[in-house]
Parts: sequence; structure tokens; C-alpha cells
Amino acid sequence: MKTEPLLQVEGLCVDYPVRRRRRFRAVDSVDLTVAPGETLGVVGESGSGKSTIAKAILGITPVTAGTIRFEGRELDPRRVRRRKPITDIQVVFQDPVSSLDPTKTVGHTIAEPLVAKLRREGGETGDVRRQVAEMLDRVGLPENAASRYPAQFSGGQRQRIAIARAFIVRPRLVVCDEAVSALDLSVQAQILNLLTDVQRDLGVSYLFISHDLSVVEHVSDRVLVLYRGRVMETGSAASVVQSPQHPYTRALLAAAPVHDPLRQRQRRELRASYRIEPKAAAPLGDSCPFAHRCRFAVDRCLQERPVLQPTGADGAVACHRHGELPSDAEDDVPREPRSTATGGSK
Amino acid sequence: MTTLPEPAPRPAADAANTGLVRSVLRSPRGAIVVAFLVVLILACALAPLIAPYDPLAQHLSAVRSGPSGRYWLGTDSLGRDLLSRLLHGGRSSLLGVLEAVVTLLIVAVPTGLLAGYLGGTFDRIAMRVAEVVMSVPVIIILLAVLSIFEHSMTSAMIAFGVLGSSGLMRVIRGSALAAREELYVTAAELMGLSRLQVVVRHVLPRCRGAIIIQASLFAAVTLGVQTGLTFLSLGPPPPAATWGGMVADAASVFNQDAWMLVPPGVTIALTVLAFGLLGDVVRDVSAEKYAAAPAARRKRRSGTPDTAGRPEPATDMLLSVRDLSVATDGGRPLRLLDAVGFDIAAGETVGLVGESGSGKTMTARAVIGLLPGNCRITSGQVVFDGSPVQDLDQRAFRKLRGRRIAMISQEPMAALDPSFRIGSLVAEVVRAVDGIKGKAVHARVIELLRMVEIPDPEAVARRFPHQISGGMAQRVAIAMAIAGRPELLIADEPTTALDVTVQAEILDLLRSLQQQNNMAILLVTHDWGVVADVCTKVVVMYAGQVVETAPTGEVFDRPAHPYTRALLLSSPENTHVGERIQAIPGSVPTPQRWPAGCRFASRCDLAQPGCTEGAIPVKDISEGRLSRCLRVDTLLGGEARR
Repeated sequence: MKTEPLLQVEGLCVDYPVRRRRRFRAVDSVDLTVAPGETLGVVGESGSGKSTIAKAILGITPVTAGTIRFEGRELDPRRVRRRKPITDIQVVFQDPVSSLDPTKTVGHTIAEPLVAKLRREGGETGDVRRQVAEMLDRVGLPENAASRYPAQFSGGQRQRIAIARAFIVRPRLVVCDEAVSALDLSVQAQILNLLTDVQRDLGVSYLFISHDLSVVEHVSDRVLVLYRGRVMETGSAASVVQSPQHPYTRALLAAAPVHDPLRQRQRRELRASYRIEPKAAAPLGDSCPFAHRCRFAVDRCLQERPVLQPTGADGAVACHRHGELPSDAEDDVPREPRSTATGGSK
Repeated sequence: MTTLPEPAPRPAADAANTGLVRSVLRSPRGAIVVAFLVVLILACALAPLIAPYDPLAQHLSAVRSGPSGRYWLGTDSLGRDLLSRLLHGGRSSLLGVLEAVVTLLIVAVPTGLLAGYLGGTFDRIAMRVAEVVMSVPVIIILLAVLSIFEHSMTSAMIAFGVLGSSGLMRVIRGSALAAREELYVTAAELMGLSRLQVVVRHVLPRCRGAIIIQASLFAAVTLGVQTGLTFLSLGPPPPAATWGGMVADAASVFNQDAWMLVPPGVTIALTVLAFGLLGDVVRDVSAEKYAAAPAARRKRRSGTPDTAGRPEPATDMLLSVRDLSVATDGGRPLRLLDAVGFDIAAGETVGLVGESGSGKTMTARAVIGLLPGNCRITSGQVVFDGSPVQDLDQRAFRKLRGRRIAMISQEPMAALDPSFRIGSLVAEVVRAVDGIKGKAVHARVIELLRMVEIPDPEAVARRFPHQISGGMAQRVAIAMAIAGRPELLIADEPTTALDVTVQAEILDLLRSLQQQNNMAILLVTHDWGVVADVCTKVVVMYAGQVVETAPTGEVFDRPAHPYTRALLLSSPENTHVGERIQAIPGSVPTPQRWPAGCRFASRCDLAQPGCTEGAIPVKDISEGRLSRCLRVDTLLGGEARR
């Protein structure tokens, strides 16, 4: 069942000017789709261009090339400047402090996008108060929160406020740009559950951007792995995490420590045995962006840019040596069934 | 993480909802200042009605008389009543101030906001104009204006307002530039608000403090300038009453009668002071309004530490902390750490785990003698290598720090002064701890950089901190920390700000350095993966207390405190895909709200009535395992598993 994608990005390139009239390509020919009700996770390290993709989709950064379609219509990348926003796309930012205006009450903050939308569409604004109260309840905040100021709330509560503000206009797509990265573990769990609940109730799609693979694996249906602005691998969350195809994805997974000292030691020793001396990063051109850190790199990797080739059901990987690499089972210490005390929820 | 835990959110936000004016009047300073200005303005405005005499009426029988029942403030050389002249003169002075300030705001606020928010061409033009205006000598322009519009104080004051606006405009532009970077401004743009709406609703409030202060200072300056102009008779021509004119009159007869200077002088000084103070008070109040509520003024129930058989520090350990309590200073001390205790053996890595507000950073800082200025150790012992260090003064501590105990922090860049090269930053530490000079220093710097596995150390030593990556910066910080060959390294979230592949490299580095030098590490972290990777022992903290101590091998499989178990379960890694994460309900209580009994009880699924009754003692469960839980047997017995 192939449904029409909600969001379709094709050949997206974003350049940033750097000094001396040079330009730096932050995002390079990225394709992605998000289906209705689906969560696409975007993983990458700092500088991989994941937040730039978010900005391009939100229309707050100039796009060098490529198209962004939403519900089949091509979006104007300058729409925010031209004040024709798409309220169907909303955002939750990482920083729970900066994302809320400290001088406005929570009720005002949550109501503002709804009022703006209703005014634009010539609707009645009489119902706003009730909708704000309903939204506060949905995100687990007390009713009297509406009359208080953001500073009176903790980081997790502020993120709930930001989520309420995003959902009040009933968006179809919400971009979560590291939305849980600044939160403590227990608060992060609460917010992840909240995002899952709201998605279930309202049928929204997420573009979920994070550097944390375990978080992305938990919330995403599909995952996109980015490195230096290019897509390295994509596929279902389970297949990317359980059997990563690209050496970079494997490196990312191998570097994340697991909650098991014994297995972690084995993985560490395995990782140490594979370790290569990284060469200086080659300028991005006709080469694989990961070649300088890749232990499987051959000459071709430095001379020719790899294209995405299909791996299985729905996955794709941009690696010249795809098919020649040792299987992931030899590459990582297998996950053992989780112990009963910490993981025994079945 | 290094600051005090944020104050408790207050349920009813009464202060936040009262108007600005009422809040100003509520503060004593504000009330006095407002009262003074209101009386002054009313008195001047109503001068024709309330002044006892005509300001120009000469009473030649009472020339230069001092204060008396007839002339309250005395009379001047022509026998004119000083009080009447003061009141009448104030009308033109205060009106002039008002004109100048209004002009200033009309010119500066919109241009500053738009220049900062829009940027681009408008910004460039506005800034160039502002620079030109700033370079113009104000007094000459004012004299020119006064000569064109003869004796028109209004035109002089409007001109002064325009000239002064370039300064305020720059200040507002700066605030608006900063506001533009705030995510809530981006969010407002995404809502489709017009630029004007964004500026008025979200950018202007951010600049309000600056505007209020600058405007009130400008009012004070204007009054001074205006008095100066009238002193030089450039304003309304004599005999019209002006404050400056009165000072001039008084100055000419100062040698014969000093009193005449007092009424206008004191009035001018007080008014200038009042304008300045008003700005301060309004700014303070409007900042408070949006700030977190002040610490709850509720008396905390005395959660007495478990004093039963005060534990003795272990003598065979490198670091032994016992019963360590830290509180804020002041009349209402707030306890931040409560009877914290743990040991670190030589060469061991101990993980100090907890969420924000658990006190883990505070503990680390107490150990190294770097508590924030308003905090102090109230009881307990910190024994390092057999000798107590908790009472050492800063001078004695300095002998330990860097040499025997070193520290690295979460923000490696913050540890590196951006104006020095990496080489000289490391050299500074080397000189301090090694006492070597000359060429040996450089050799040692390179050796250290090589030890932290920096490729091409010579080249890196010549770079500035902003030219290296975050991972490299953390390596440099580690090099500086190990320069004194410390026996204990305190690492406060050393990898939190780094990418996961860089984190793995830094952890590998710490591990290998530790093996080479037999260095113990106290690793403050909230990441269980990091704990599993490097720690041999875990100390779990919650709300200022140690709730569990365990060898790393056991804590993941058999946590001995419900909080440890809940924290492990709330990680997505320990959740099956497609299932809800078992999040802990509620949040960590702030120090103001620590209950008398178990601090985790309200969020615990094993809690029973006994848990909330009194302080929970630490229980020894097995070799090297401690738990602060009454129901630890149930927990470990596995009956109450979720």
C-alpha cells in the first residue's frame, strides 16, 4: 500500500556562505519522504546538516537547490518571509528556555499561533480559551498554568508548553529538532511518551531529529543517517539499528555505549581492534564523505561519489563497498536478551 | 549544572499578575521615588494655583531673606519668593525633560528595533546616520537651535532628544539582535505573524529593560543640560523663573548669601536622582516579574541526617567522603547536600550518577574545595589520602588542586582562554605545577599533548582554542588536568557535549591514562552507557542524598534502590521498540521541598506508609553495596517487579 507521502523532499541542497565568498554545502542532495502518521528519524553528529534540513523544511533558511513538496504542493522556500506560513508544519526546538517568550504567559504563548491562524482565515477566536485549556490538559499541565510565566516551569514542563504550542493548530507534520536532547533521562522519557501519545491521538507525522540513536530507534518508523550533509543510509528503524549496512552507521552504533558493562567491554575491545588512524577529512567533492575515517575504504571511495543503492525491503545505502563488507554480526557483539530486572517488561 | 538548583516553581503566580505600576509602588525604593516625583510634578503643574506669590513679584522689603513663615524658602536679591519661583521654574524644566524623552523614544525605539530585527540595508543606513549624529557636538547644535528659534526651550529639547537617540538606538538594536536569535521569535515567524507583530510582541519586551534604564538616565541628563542652558540664560529670558536661572542668580551672590543656592540646587539634585532610581526600580521589578518565583519562604521540616553511629572515614582509600552536608549561607540556610558519603580507591573509576538537581556536581565541587561563594560545608569529612581536607583554606587547597586532585568540566571550551594559544595555556599550568622554566616547559607541553593522543602536537600548540574542535578541546583540557600527575581526576560530565564517536575516543583516552598513571577518576555523569563503559563503582544520588552505592557489574542487573531501577528503565535503550517507556512520574523535588522521609517516596511504586515517616538510613546489603531504601529486600527479592 503505497500512500501519497505527506512530505517529499528531493535533491535538497543548502549552502552557507563562509568567508571570502566561498560557500559551504551544509546539506547535499538529500531526498526524504514522510508518510502520513509516520515518524522519520534523522540521525547524525554535529555538523551533519540535520538541523539545516529542519530549517529548510520550515522555510527559515534559503534553499540552494531541490524541491520540498507538502501534500503534493511545492512549498515556497521563502514563505515565512512572505508571511504565507504553512500551519500544517510546526516545530519543537531543543532549547526549552529560548523557545518560549519569557514576557508572555503560557496561555498567551499557546494561543498565539491559533489566534494568528484564525485571524488569517477570518475565523472566530471566541473558542481559543477552551482549546488552550484542552491542550494544556493533553500535554499534562495543570489548568492554572495558562496564567503563569515560562520561568516558573522546569525544563520538562517548558517542553510540554512548546509541544502544546505546536499542536494547537492541529498540524499534519511536526519537526522535532533535538526536542528531548536537553532533558534529563526521566524527563526525556516523559516527553517521548507524550509525543507518542499525541501522535496516536491526533495522527500527526514527525520528522524527529536527534544525535541519539537509541532515542531515534525508539520513536521512529524509518531512519535517515546523515554525515557531512549527505545521506549515508536509510531504512526502517529496526533494520538500520539491528543490521546497519554503512560503515558510518556501524561506527555510530559501535561508539554508543550500552547499558551492560560486560558486553560494553567486549564491544570496546572489538572497536579498538578495528580502529584506524583517521586521516584529515578530504574536502567534500567526488568522494565518500566518510572515506577518511572508514576502515573499509578503497581508492574508489576517494575518487567517486557513492550513490544510494537499495539494500532490502525499503532501505538504501550510499557505499561503494556495499555487499563486500563483512556482515554486521561479525562486526558487533550481539545484543543479548535483556536481563529481567531492568528490561523485563514483557 | 554548576549553579544552584532552580527555585521551586510557585503554584500561584501572584507577583507575576499584578501590574507593573503596583509592583513598583510595592518596593520601598519605588514608593519613595514615585511619591517624590508625583508631588514635584503636581506642585509644578499647579504652581499658578498653589504658589504663595507671583514668581515675578518683587518684595524689596525682604531681599535675600532666609526661610521664614512668610517666605518658606526665603527670597532672592530682588525679594522674589524662592518657593514660587521654584514651582514655576519647574514647569518649564519638567516639560522640557518630557519633550526630550518623548522625542528620544519616538526616534530611537522604532529605528533601533527595526535595525536590529530586520538587519540588511535598513540597519546599515540607520547605523551610518547614528554614527554621524553621534559625532556632532551636541552643545553647538543646541546653541544653533536656540539662536534660530529664539529662547524656545521646546525646540532645544526636541533637538536634544533627537541627538541623544543615536545612543539609545544602538542599545536597542543590540537587544533586538539578540532577541532575533531566540527560538521564540523564530516560532512567532513560523506562525505567520507580521513583522510588526513579531517586533511588538516578542522583540520589544526583550528590550524594555534597556529602554527604561536608558530613558530614565537620559531624563536625568536632560535635566542637567536644561538647567545648564537656563543657567546661561539661553532659555526663557529673565526675569522668567527657571531652575538654571535661579542657580545663576544664587551663584552671583554666593559669597554674601549661600542659602539662595540651596532650594534650586537640592531640588535639581533630588530630581536627577529620582529619575535615575526610577529607572532602576522599574527595571528590577519588570525583570522579577518574569523570573522564576523566589525561593519558597516555607520553613523546611528538619530532615535530620541519620546520625546513628556517625560513620568513620575509611583510611585505606584515596578519597573518603563521610556525612558531607552542604548548605547555602545566610539567615535561611538551604541544605543542598545531605550526609553524602562514598569512597574512591586509588586507580578506581567511580561514577556519580543522578539527574539535574541531585547534587552530583555540588558533591564534586565540595571535594575539590570549589563550592559556589554562597555555599559551605556544614558537616562531614572529606579525607584525601589519609588527611582531612574539608576545612582547608583556599591557599592550602591550591597546593592540592592541579597537583594531586584535578578537574575537567563539561564545557572544555570554557576552560580554555580564547586569547591564548593552546601551547601557552598548557605551559602556564606546567609552570605552576612542575616549577620548571625555559625550554623544558615546551618539551613537557608537547609531551602532555602527545599523551592525550593529539595528532601533530606541535601544530596544535600553535593554534587558538576557537581553531580546534570540541573533542580536541576536551583533550587539551585533559592534558592540562594531568599536567600535575594527579592521583584523582574529577571529571564533571566530560563527554556530555560531545558527539558519540568523540565521546568513545575521550572515554578510551581517560581509561588508558588511568592505567598508565594509576589515577583515580570521579566521573560525574547522567549517562548509564558511560557508566557501563568506564566505571568500576556507581554512586547514585537523588535530591542531595546518596541513595545507592554498587559495583557497576551489579547495578544494571540488580539495582538496589527503586530510583536506580526507575532511572534505568526510563532509558529508551532499556525499552522494547513499540512499547511505552516506563517514565518516572513527577519530578525531582527541589531542596525547598525535600520531605522528611524518603525523598523518592512520592514517585516510587514500592512506597509504603513507613517510607514517609522519618529519614531513611543507609543499609549495608552486601560487600560494597549500600542502599537508602526500606524495601530493598522486596526490590532485590524480585516480588515487586513491574
